Amino acid sequence: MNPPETAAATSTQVAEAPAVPNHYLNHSKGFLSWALTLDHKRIGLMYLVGVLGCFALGGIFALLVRTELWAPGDTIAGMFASPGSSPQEVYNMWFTVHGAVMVFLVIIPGVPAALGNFVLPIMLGAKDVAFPRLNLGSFYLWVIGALFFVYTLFNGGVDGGWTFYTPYSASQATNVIPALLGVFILGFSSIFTGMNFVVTIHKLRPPGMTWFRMPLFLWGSYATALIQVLATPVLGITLLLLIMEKTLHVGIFSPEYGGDPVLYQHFFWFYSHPAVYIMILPAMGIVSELISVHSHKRPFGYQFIAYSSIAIAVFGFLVWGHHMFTSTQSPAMNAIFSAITFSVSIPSAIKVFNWLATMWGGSIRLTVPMLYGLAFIFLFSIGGLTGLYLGTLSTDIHFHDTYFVVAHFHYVMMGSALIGMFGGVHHWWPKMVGRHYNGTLARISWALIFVGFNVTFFTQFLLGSQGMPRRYYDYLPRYEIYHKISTVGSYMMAAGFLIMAFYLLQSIFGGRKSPANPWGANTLEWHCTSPPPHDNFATAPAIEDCYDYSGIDYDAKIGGYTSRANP
Amino acid sequence: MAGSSITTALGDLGGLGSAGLAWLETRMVGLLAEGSIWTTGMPAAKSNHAGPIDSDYAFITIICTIFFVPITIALVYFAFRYKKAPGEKAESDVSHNTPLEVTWTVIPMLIVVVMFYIGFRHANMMYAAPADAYTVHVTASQWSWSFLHPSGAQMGGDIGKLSPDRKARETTDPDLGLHLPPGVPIRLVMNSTDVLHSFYIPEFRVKQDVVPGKTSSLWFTPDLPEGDEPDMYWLLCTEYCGKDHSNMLSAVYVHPTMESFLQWQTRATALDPDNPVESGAKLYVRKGCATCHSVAPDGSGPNTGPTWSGLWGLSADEHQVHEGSPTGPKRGVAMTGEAGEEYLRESIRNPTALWREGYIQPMAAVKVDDTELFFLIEYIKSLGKQ
Repeated sequence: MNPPETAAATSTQVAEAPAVPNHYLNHSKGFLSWALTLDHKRIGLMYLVGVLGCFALGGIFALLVRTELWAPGDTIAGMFASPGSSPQEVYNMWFTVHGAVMVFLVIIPGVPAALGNFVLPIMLGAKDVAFPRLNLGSFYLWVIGALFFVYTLFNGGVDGGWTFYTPYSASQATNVIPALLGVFILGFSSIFTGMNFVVTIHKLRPPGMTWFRMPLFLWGSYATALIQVLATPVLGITLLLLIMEKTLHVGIFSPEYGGDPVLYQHFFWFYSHPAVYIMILPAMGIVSELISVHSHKRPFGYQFIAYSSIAIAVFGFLVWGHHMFTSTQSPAMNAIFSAITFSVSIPSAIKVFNWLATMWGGSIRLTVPMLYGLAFIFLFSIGGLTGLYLGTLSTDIHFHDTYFVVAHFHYVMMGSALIGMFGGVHHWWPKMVGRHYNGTLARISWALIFVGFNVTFFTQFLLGSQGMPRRYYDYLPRYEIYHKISTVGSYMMAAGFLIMAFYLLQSIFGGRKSPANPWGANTLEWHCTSPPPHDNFATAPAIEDCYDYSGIDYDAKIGGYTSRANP
Repeated sequence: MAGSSITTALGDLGGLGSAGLAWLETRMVGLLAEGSIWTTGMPAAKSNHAGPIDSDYAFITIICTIFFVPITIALVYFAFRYKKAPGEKAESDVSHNTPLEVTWTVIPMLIVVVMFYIGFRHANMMYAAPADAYTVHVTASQWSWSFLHPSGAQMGGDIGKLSPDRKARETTDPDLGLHLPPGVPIRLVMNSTDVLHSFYIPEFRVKQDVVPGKTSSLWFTPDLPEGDEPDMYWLLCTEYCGKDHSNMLSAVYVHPTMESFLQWQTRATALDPDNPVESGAKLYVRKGCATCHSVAPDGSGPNTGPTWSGLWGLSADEHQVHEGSPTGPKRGVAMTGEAGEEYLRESIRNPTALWREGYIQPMAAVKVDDTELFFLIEYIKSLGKQ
């Protein structure tokens, strides 16, 4: 086929097409067309809006916490204290809300429910998820769960930390029950999404899409979905038991009624440790895509990466006791949990080495998503390596429940899971809304977030090794300088996220139109238009090797890439 | 016990590796020693446990550096070395390399086995206290520590106070807090009266949760003070326990000589029967009452519990006291008379029998003998309505 003919063919198509191409965003109009939609892309987008809104809410509480910690003694919490409460109680509510919102409303649903919903079916070559109604139900459960949290906020707040350890949580008069019901409902939202993904990946793969042809993001999402389905019910049961104890005084966790507080910790972490992998595995999946696509090179050691996702999911169920080395757990259990914990570090290390090897010899474009991918590898390396200090029995005794742990899990939860999520948002944004964001602003924002993050949280490793306990409203003056630096870092991050909010919103209204394939990727979603049509694919797509970049060529005229095999 | 036999078995297994480890340690002794660059970030090392924990810390830090520095260099170098214009093809199309991947799986595996073992071995040294240890009973309550010594000396914690310039936390009374004799292993046997707490002294590298309904313990041998004065450390609560979690501190003193410790012990137990009010004032701090009850005439200070200032002689109207617990159903007003002898005796010895309107935090029973109870009540009387 010679070029003039191609051009002619394209222009005829354009002439026949309606003035505005039909896609999932303009397919139908009106509030109900969104509120009752069964389209995975719309549900994903609504989730994304909700998750980012909650991220802003959780972020405001984080800034309040950091501002209060600017100096020892009361800084700003006193200004928010009502006549019946003290500044300490206000501060304790802030960090509880920050933790609970970020974990249950942002990070857990962030990648699977928001990005996963949008991307997973298209990447797989399916028209939708297996159970679209269940998918919409999951979103509504998320909304209801979020409303329970908002209710507690306007009704005096909630105390106890996001872990709600007994017997303190059971003894509290504050809104522990509405908050726990909120978490319980969010748990079902998460189970619905997980079930949907497991069934979708098993049953809706088109002919030719074998397990080992699946993009790595799907492997990450699959491993995550398994944990969501298997671990979340334990959290639900635990919360119900806690509510029963609190209302009916059945002795389960409180010694007052003959219960055992350490039992609660076992139950809680039996879910919440695997939940850490619910947060990190899909982000690792995103990064596997980002590094390969923006290096235009096949992922190095595809099978090792895929298997390591499953290995992490399996081992992740067996390490919960490492949160409890100082809890009066027996020495033998401490030893066993420490040993298994180290086994999780191996698949994580493999992934890092594989990503680096993927970059080696590639054709790297330092696009905004790629910058997030690089930031992820750097931050995850720190987050992962500092986990070694906490898995080691002797050193954990010193670091447990100090800022060292706070820093470690922020490197993993925010520096890795959320940075991975934002990498995904920047990667798929042109696909989702059909427009590009401002690249210069995005780079400035990225730099502020990356530097600000390290200033905030690296300092907290030093704070923790010096012995600063977590969840302290007031502290010994010897820790002051570290707290000041950390607070400055948090403001840098806040500035970065404000810029991000600005350019993402601005791109919707004034952004440059995105071609179908702006990055030169070869997974299926980039073979659809941007934004994708309502039903993803008119006919079942031909499944090729999604990491073969040899047939993808750059076209400067459209500012994107075209595929020779599949124009 | 099944648990301990597993521990022993693991220990025996480790014995095989410990010869090799001993060799490694002698090679690395300089690197792992206290004060080396690899222990940067740790606080002063002041107990027998600090050395082993810091050497494990240094070992892990060295391993982390060995991994982290090349990862970062490769990350930055590759990002620029292989940066290309749009549309340029990758230089390599390598998809895997099994020997390489097996290598970078197996090497970290071997390293973490060593890491597990050193941590396991040093943690095992921290569980069982030596038989000759000096035992102190520690009671944690929201939000104070209390220490009972074998001599019968009982002392409340000293939470200290932020200095006016906010640059230091100052102790309030040098006799308060946890006082320890020099040069002997210390064993702490700990109970909580309400929620979870955790006992942590950063300089000693010890931490143990204090769990209601259970007894937990830890031990350490503090370093001898270098000067003639006791060394002072802060004990911190590291398990979130509610409103004043961050104020649940206490000063800890390690005496330089036995003589100095015994002098403190004498001061801590001395009461003057000829001066009951003054003795009551001493008990007010020693028994930890000061953590929750204020005595200042203007009512300033901690007010988790009712102030003692003006308490004596309050009429039934001024002083709404109910039976039962504040979280349960109200069982009517219990007190028809004024706040007097009977009410105070009941409230100190059996504090959950009655509760006063406006104060929901339950108080733990305080162990006092009849004389001490008499002194305390005399002290409260002296603060009564003028």
